[in-house]
Amino acid sequence: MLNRLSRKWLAILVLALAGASVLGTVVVTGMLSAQGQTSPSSANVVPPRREVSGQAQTTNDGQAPNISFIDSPNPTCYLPEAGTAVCYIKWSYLYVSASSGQNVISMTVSIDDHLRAYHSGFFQSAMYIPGGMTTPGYQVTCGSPGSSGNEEVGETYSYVIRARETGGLSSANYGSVTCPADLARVFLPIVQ
Amino acid sequence: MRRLSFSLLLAFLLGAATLSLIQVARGQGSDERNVLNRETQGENLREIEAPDDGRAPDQPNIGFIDSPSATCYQPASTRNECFINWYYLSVDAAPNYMITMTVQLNAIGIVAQTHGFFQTSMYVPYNMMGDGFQVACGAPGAGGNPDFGNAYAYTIRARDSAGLKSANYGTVYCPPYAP
Repeated sequence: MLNRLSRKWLAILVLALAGASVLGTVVVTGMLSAQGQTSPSSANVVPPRREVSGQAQTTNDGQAPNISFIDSPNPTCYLPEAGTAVCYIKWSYLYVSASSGQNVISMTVSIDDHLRAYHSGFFQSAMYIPGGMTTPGYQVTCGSPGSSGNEEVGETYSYVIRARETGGLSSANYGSVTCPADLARVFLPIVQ
Repeated sequence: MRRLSFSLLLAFLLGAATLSLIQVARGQGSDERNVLNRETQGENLREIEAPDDGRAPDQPNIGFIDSPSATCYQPASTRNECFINWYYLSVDAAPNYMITMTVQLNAIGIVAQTHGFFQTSMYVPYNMMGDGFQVACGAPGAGGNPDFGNAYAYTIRARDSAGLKSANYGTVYCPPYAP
């Protein structure tokens, strides 16, 4: 009798443990997927990459001329005034040079798939855009703390800088920049 | 009487036709410019023009205007507000003096005029124009290219003390405003 009773309790215990483990798995999976949804900008993190593409015509000496990599140092996101939630993205400068004997047609800046600047070449073999030329930078929302997955900073934005030359070659830089976290503070008037 | 009025009418018509021909010929003559040097590349064109009085030096002193990196940028994607600027504008007229250099956005008019002051060359950096010239970014495709917003044609002209002129013609495309 006692043996039958203990077997019954053992079966109940095993069933309870199995149920708890299934429930735990469901809860943990749900939490992970929810975390993925609330931080969309974590998908914006783009490993820095630069590439040259296109078909170059070979010169008389057999060498294939090449457009340069784009030089785009110090991508920065800064918050000029705390409490506004307004940040700006800018670079120290952008620079690209065309293959020998070719000219730069254009260089573009896109942030999060939105074109933000078009630089048009005018009979020039290289293009230099100082940071001050696009003052104050490209305005973005700073984002709340942790919006990019890191509690200490705000939103992360991906960017693409592309350049084209008359020889048919193009050059592109891919990367991402994370902004300081900031939320807009609204001050209500005191009514007495 | 009827024959007389017919003759008068015919004479009037002939006279009017003759006068209109003279006007067309004169108009054609005034449109002809003495272009000394011209280069094109895609949508860009630059040229040097002789003085209006017809004097055409063998070696024109004024050079092509250097106006690299015509730029249209959109600081805030939430606003239909773009800015056009150039890295710099530069022209050399030595040994003659520079009189003026003007920037014209064809859809708006002249937006900047820089005067020479006993100077044989002129250099105007981007930061002399503040943030640049504010324009509407335009809806996607507004300038004819679906990837961009408005397209702005521009003309930059320079004139020296010998009457020589230099001009750059180009087009800059703006990012689209797509809220």
